[in-house]
Amino acid sequence: MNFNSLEFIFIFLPMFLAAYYVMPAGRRNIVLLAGSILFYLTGVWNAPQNLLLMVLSVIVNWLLGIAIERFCLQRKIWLCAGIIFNFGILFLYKYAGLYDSLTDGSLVSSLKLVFPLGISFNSFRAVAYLADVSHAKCFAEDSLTDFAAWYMMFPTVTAGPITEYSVMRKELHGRTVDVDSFIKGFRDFVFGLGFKALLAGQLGAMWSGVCAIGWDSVSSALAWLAIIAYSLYIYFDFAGYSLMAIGIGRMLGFTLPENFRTPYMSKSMTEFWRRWHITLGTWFRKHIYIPLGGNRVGRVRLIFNLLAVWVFTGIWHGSTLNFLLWGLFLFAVLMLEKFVIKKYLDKYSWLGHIYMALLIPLSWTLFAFTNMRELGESIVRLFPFLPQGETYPIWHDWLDYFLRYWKYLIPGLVCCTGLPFYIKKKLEGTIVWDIIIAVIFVFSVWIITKMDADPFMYGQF
Amino acid sequence: MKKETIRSIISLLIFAIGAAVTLPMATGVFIDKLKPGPDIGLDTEEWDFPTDPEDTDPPETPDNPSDTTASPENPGTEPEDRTSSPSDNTTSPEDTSAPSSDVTTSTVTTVHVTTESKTQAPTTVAPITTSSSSQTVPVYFGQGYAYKKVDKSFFADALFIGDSRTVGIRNASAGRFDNAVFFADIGVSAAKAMANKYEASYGADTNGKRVSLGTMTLKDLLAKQKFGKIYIMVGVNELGGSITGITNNIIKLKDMCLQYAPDAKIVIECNLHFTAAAEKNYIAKGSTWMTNDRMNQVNAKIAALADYKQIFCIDINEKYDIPSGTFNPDYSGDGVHPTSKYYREGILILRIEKRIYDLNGHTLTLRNAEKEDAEILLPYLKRVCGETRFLLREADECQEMTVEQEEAFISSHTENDRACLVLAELDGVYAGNASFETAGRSRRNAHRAEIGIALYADYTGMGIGKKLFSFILELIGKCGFESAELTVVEGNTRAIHMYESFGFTETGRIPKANKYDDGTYADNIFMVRTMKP
Repeated sequence: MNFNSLEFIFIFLPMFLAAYYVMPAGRRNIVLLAGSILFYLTGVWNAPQNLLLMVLSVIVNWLLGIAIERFCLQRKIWLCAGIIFNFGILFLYKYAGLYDSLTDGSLVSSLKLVFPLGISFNSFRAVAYLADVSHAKCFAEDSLTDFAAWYMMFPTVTAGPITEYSVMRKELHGRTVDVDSFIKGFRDFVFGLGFKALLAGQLGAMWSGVCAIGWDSVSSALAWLAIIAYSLYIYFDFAGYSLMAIGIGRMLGFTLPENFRTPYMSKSMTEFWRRWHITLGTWFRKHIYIPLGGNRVGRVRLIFNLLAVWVFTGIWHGSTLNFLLWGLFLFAVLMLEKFVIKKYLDKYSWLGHIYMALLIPLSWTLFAFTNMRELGESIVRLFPFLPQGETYPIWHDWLDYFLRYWKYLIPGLVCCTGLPFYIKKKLEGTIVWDIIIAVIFVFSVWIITKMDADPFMYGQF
Repeated sequence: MKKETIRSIISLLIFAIGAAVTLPMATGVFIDKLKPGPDIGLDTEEWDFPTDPEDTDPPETPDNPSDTTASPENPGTEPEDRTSSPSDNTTSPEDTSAPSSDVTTSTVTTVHVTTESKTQAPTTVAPITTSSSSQTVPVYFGQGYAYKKVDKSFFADALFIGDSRTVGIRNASAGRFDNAVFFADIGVSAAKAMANKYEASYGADTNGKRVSLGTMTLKDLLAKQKFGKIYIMVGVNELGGSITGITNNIIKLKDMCLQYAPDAKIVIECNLHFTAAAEKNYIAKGSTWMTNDRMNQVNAKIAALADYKQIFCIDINEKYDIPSGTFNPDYSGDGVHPTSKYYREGILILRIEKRIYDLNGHTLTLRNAEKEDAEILLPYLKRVCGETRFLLREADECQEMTVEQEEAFISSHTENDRACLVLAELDGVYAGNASFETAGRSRRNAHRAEIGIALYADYTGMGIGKKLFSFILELIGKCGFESAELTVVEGNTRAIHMYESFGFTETGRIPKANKYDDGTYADNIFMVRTMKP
């Protein structure tokens, strides 16, 4: 079930919240667990065996957590077992397809592998949990239901934010749930819904429309317009989803971590990755970068550490070649910044903004195309000084698309800035803001009823 | 009450109002999803395809013990609408009536042959002693056509009516259709095409620009300009309706075109398939009616509308599909539309000829030769020369022909608009071929077609020759030749009789034109027939 679907907004969420609020505090985790199981089931409807996989994962990780704590002398072994278990499953599902295509095998069909919902995010959360227990940052969770409620909780199970057990443990065991949490949570939820339904949906449609033409038949201007639309789409889609998750979490009494901080206002790629998908960056920093030595090592080792982080980041996002290239591209840019140009970007903010205005769409180009041929075609289109080959773009295609979508492109560009958040901060708590929220809600639902629900883009991970 | 409580209540109230406004929208959508397929205002009465009166006659062929119509041994070969052949002995021209009962299966293994009424009646309804062909109208589905290039001038009087796929053709045609008119828009259905105003324009030129004729209704457009051919591709935007409902609307659209453009040929194009991935996506999102299966059902009904005299049906899916019968995913970005590049390549498709006949329970396929067929044709040529006196070469002379020469021969026919090489296959096995080309290189001979035909000895005497020859003549007529000629060797009485039955007459001989290795001679008989314009 997608958060921006009518089923979720009008059926699941109201019914769940009714049950949740009615229950006494001690029972809330069970209700949360029950609701999350139901939510997950609707998500894996076509492959119910994945629900069993999820249950297995919950039980195994819970047992491992306890084992690490109980047998602390062998905790490294248990931690290793946990890493192998979680990442092993992740690798299998992610790369079986690639293995099949390289070796002409039929692993996917013989094992009936269907990519489980949220496995990339949840395996990271599990490993973080086990690592934290192993390093005595927190106690292991003794109650299976509480652990399951945290692991499977439906606000984060699809695509994060990647929550840390050590941080959430307190609220897991006791949280305030009152009218205030509902109201504040609802405001955030609708704000995110607006991002997703009003902006991401339409810009995504523009992107698909251009893709349908075929990149070999698109003019350079339209190619740039399309990739800008894609950049906006991916931001509003994912940031919107994260805001909705945080809002739901609030309604349930949880404080979920911030995942986006107007990343498109960054002045360097280094800054960007501290403001985009923050929980992922934090995870990589805490569990890969720092264990490898972080930046307290010699220069060569530092470069190696960063390379490791970015290669893994790339392949975490997808198993096709373009994701690896994307990770490497980001690594190269970060290296360039770190050793050469960052100081200039920081000094002259206008330079930084222009630089990022170019780099952000370019980096997303590598991200957007899983088909290498299309990737090549689009790059050729983006840079008209490259040899173009035979091409018959439709005359003024960019104008046509601009006229159709400027209502979303312009507000999209404006909403990338801090402006909406600034307004939100200024007006939150006033009646005006609540009315604005209600209006956003109405328009979002209206637009959802008009088009099919757009499966959350990051959900494929 | 505390101030905070009041504030909270006000907030909740505001949210409740928002929810109340949106609730009817949401419930509307839910109710729609529960309904079995959205109704788009189509009438749902069952549409009966009128059956040919002969469909119901019992078999009456006492002199044809091999007639398998009623025989219990071949129950598997006849579909239920298979008719008998009572009219073997008639010589009156058969008027091809409306299509026979529709084929609902998506593959056609036996199809009835047409005996189209031509102005020269007797030639087409010759008594065929060995086959038991029926007189009903053909129902070609899918396998209607192979492809022949045509000159752009062919489209100067063409009108394309359709939905977003036709828009794609229009926009991507890069000069190939800039003389044809397009009446298409995203979302068009048959019903909308009849009622609404859309922009009519010419196809895009090589710069992507296109000249617009303005926004108007179809009726206005048909009144404004005379079209010789009207291509229609609609259906995908109303796939949620009932199949008969969609078909009814397409029929009404076709009738409207006939009403306002009575001389035009109508070509109804079968709708393009989706890719397997797009189909799965639609189903997953709840649009369970967007399937290739339903598309095929609509296409089958469309195919049944064709009479091949004024209403034609073509299926371009052959060119775009992968073996599973779904659209090739490499050709599409979104699974529903070909990319511009593949629209352009698809545009090369147009004239198509391929026929499937039922011959005594066997399937006879006549199709255009392709370069790949050189490998079948060469040994055939070599063998057939050895089998008979009636061809031009001795067997050993044929041995020297190479595959390249044969390929060249095939190419000279496939790439030429006024030549054709048709292969005949019985039950999938190559049986023989026929060909025609212009009688000479110069303009002065270009109005004459020269025919060649030969079958493997095993396959003679079955009626294949007649079908093949009849087909060739039809193509010759369509190409606009004024006359057809051939050379037949003296002594080949069976062939001579057949040619005479098709209206050829001897106009001359070259005495002793062939000298055989055994010392005997045979004349070459020259036969000609004029084609009605």
